[in-house]
Amino acid sequence: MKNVVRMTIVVGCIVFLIGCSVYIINRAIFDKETNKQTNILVVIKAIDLRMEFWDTVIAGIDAAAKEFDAKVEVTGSRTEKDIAEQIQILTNAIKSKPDAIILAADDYYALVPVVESIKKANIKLIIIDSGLNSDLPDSFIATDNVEAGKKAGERMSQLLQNDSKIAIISHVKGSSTAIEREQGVRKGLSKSLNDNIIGVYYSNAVQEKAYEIAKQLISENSDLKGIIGMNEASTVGAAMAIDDLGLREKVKLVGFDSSLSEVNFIEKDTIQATIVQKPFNMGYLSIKTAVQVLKGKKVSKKIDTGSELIIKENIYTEENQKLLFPFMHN
Amino acid sequence: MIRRLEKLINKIPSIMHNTFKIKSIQSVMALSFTFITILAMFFVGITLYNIFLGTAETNVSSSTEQIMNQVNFNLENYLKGMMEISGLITDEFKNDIYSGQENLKNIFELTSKIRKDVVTLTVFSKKGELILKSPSKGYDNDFKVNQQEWFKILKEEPDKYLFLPPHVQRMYEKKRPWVVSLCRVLTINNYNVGKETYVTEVDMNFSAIDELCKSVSLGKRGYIYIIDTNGKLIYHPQQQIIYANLKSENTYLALNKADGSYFESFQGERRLVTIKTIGYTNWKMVGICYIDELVATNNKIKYLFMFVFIFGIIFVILASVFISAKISQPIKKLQKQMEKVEKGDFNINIEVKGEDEVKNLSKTFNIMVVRIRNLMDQIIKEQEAKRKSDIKALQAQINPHFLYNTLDSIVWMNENHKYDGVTTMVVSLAKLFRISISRGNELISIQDELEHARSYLTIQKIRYRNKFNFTIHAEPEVLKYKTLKLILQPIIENAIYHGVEHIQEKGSIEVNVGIYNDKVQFRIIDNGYGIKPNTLKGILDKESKDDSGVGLNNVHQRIQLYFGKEYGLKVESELDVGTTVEIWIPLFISEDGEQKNGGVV
Repeated sequence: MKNVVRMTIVVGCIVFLIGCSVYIINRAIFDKETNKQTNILVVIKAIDLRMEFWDTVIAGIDAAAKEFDAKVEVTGSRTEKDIAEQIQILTNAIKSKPDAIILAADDYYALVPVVESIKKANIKLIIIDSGLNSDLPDSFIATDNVEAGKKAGERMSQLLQNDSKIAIISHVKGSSTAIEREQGVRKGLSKSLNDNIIGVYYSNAVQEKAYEIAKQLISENSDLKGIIGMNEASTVGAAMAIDDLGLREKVKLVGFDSSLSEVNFIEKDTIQATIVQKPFNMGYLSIKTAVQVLKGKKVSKKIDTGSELIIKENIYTEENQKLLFPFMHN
Repeated sequence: MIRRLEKLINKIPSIMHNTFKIKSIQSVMALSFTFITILAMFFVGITLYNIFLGTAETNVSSSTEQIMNQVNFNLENYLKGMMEISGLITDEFKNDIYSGQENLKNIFELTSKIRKDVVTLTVFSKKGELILKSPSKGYDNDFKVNQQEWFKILKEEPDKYLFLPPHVQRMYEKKRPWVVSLCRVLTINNYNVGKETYVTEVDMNFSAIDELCKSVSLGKRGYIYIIDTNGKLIYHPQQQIIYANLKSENTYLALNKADGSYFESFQGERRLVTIKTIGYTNWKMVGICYIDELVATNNKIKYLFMFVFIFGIIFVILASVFISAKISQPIKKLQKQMEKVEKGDFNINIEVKGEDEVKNLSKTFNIMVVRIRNLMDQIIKEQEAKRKSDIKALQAQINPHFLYNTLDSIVWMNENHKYDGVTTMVVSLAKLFRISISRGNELISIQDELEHARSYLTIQKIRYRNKFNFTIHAEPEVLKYKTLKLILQPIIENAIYHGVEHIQEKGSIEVNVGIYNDKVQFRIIDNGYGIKPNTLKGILDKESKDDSGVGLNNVHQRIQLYFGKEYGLKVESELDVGTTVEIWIPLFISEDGEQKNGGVV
C-alpha cells in the first residue's frame, strides 16, 4: 500500500511541475499577443475648427492615445446645437463596436436613451465636459462648472458697482455646462447684480451669433455695464463686438476659456478676466481612464479637472503660461 | 569548511528519517538526490543569471553613454551655432553701424527663412530700445523688453550670455510660441562711436532639439530629456503632459548626481539613468532606458530560465526515482527472502545479484541459512538420541527380569525361613525403586544415587550368596552435588555379570566418589574377569548387545548428551585382574535440567 501512496505522490509532483511549465510557456509566448490595440471613439460637441477649446481637448486625447497605444477616432456633430446628429452618430457607432466611447453631450436629457443603448452593448463610456442625466457612464471628467461660474460671477461683482446692468451670453440651452455655469454665476454675483441681470441669451456656441447678440444688447441697452460669456465662442463674439463698438473697459467682459484671441483681448483690456478650463487634461484623462476601465481597474466616477481665473496681470506666470498656451512641439 | 559540508550532507538522511518519516532506502536516496541536485541547480542558475544580468546591464550602460555623448556633441554644436548667429552682430557693428544694421537685417531675414527652429532674432540697446528684429512684421510695439527680468539682470554683465528656460514669447502679436532664448550682451568697439553695449536675443522653438533627441533610440520606450540646474524642464518628449501635471519625471536624481550612469526605480519600473552636462549652458541631458527591455531582464528570458529549471527538476526527479529503485531492488529482494526465513522457511536460496555489497550480503546470508538448517537438524538428532537413551534408562528403572529374580529370591528365602534376608531384600528393593523413579527427576543427589547403588549391591550380594563384597565410599562434601540418576547401577551390573560372577575367589566391588579437578569422579573398581582388549577398544561406542541391560556406552552417551563431551566414562581393564570404570560429571548443584514430568514419588 505504501508504495502506491508514494508513487502517487511522485506522479502528482511531476504532473504539477509539467502544469507549471505549460503555464510559463503560455505566459512567455502569448503575453505579447494579448496586448491588442484598443479602439476608442470620441464624439465631441462640435467639429468646429475654430474652437481652440476642442482642439486642445483633441491634443490631450492624441497625447494619451500615443502613450497608451490606443487607436482613436474623433467625430462630432456640425454644431453644438445638432443634438439629433450627435444621437445618430452614437447609434451608428454602437454597431461598429468600439472598445470605448468618449462623449461630450450636447444635451443633458436627450442623450440618455442612446447612452443606455451604449451600456447595454457593453461598450465602456466616458463622459467629458458636459454631463447628462444618467449614472450609467463609467466616469465623468469635467470642470466643476458651478464653481467656475461662481468665479466668473465673483469677478464681475468686483469689477462693477452695485445696480449695474449685466447680461449673460450662454451657448446651448439645455447643455449641462450652460445650466451649471449659469447656476454658478448667479451664486458668485452680488445680490444686487443678480437682480440686475437683464437676460440670458443663447449663441448656440457660434461666434457670429454671439457677436450679433452682444451688438444688439449694447445698442438696445445703453446702461449695460457688463457681459458674461459662458464659453469661448460666446466670449470671443462678445469681445469682438465690444472692440468694434470701441467700448473697451466701458462694458466689462468676463468670459470662459482661453483661445489665443481671448488672450490678446485680455492683454488689450477688451476682456477683463476669463475662467480657464483644462481641456488638455480633460482629453488626456478621458483616454487614460478609458484604458484603465478596459483593463478592469477601478476608476473615479467623477474627475474634476478644475478651473483658473486669468487676468491681464497673471497671464505670464509660469503656471498660467503652461495652462494658457498648450505646448506643442511642432 | 569541507568538514562542515560533510557533516551537513551526512545529516540529510537522519533529517529524512526523523523529520519526514521517510525511511526506505529508495525514498531517502531519491529525495536526497533530488534535493541536492535542485539546490545545486538553483544556486548555479541564479549565479549565472545574475552574472548574465550584470553583464547585460554594464553593456547597456556603456552603450547608452556612447549614445548620449553623440547627442551631446550634436546639441552642443547646435547651441554653438546659436551663439554664432547672435555673435554675428559683433562683426557687423564693428564698422558702420547703419550698413551693419542693414547687412544684419538681411542675414537675420535669411536665417529666419531657412531655419525653421529660429523663431525670432532681436537686437536691443542697453536701454532697451529695439534696434533690429526678425521677422520684421507683426512686432508688438507695446512690448517692453526692459521690463523683463532677464534683461535687468543681464545688461549689467558685459559679455555674458544666458539661456532662458522655456517660456511663451510675447514679442509678436497674435503669436505666442513656446521658445528657448539665448540672450547675450555684447560690447562692441565701433570705430566711430566707441564702446557700445548691445543685447541680442535669439528665440528657438523645440523642433531642432526635438529632432536631435528623438533621433536616437534608447530601447522601445526609452527617451532623452533636458533639464537645467534649477530643476526646470527644458525639453521632454511629453512636455505638455508634464506641464499639465498629468505626469511627473524624477528630476531629483538628475539634478543631484554628477555625470554618469545610475540605476533607479521609478513608478515600479527599473530604469537606467544616464546624465551628461551640456556645454555652453547650465543644462543637463538625461537619458532614460527601461531595463525590462534588455534581453536579460526581458520576461521571456526569465520564463525560459524558469521553464528550463522546472524541466530539469522533472528530469532529476524521474532519474533519481529510477536509479534509486534500481539500486534498492536487490536489497528489497533480499529483505523479502529474509522475511520468509523469519517466518520459519529455511529452505530458501537467494540469487546472488546486484551491487557488490548486496552480493556479499546474499552469499553470506545463504551460508548462514544453511548453517542454521544444519544446526537445527543436529539439534533434532541430538534430541532424538537423548530421547532414546532416556527411554532406555526409563526401561532400566523398571527392569522386569531383575524384579522377577529378586522376588524369586525373596520367596525362596522366605520359604527357607531366612527372614532377615527377606526384610533386607524387600527394604532394599523398595529403596531401589523409589530412587529409580525419584519423582521423575533426571537429576538426583549423589547421595541418593549412592543409596540406589547400595540397594542394588545389597540385593545382588544376597542373590549371589555373598559371592562378592562391596564398599561404597564418598567424600562428605561431594554428597550434596547432583548427578544423572542411574549411572552407577549399569556399571555395577556389568561389574557383576561380566566381572566378578565368573571368578573363583571372592569378588570385590568398590564404589568411590570424590572431587578431582573440579569434577565429580565415580570409580567402580572390580576384580573381576576383565574385558578383552578388543572389546575394550570399542566398548563405549557400540550399542549394548544386551537388550535387557543398558550398557556402558549408553551411560556414556547419556552423560555426554547431558553434560557435554568432556564428561563421561573411562574404562580400564586387565584380564584376570579387574576393571576400573571412571565416571566423570561436572559439579552440579543447580536445578537445571530437572524434568517436571509430573512423576509421583
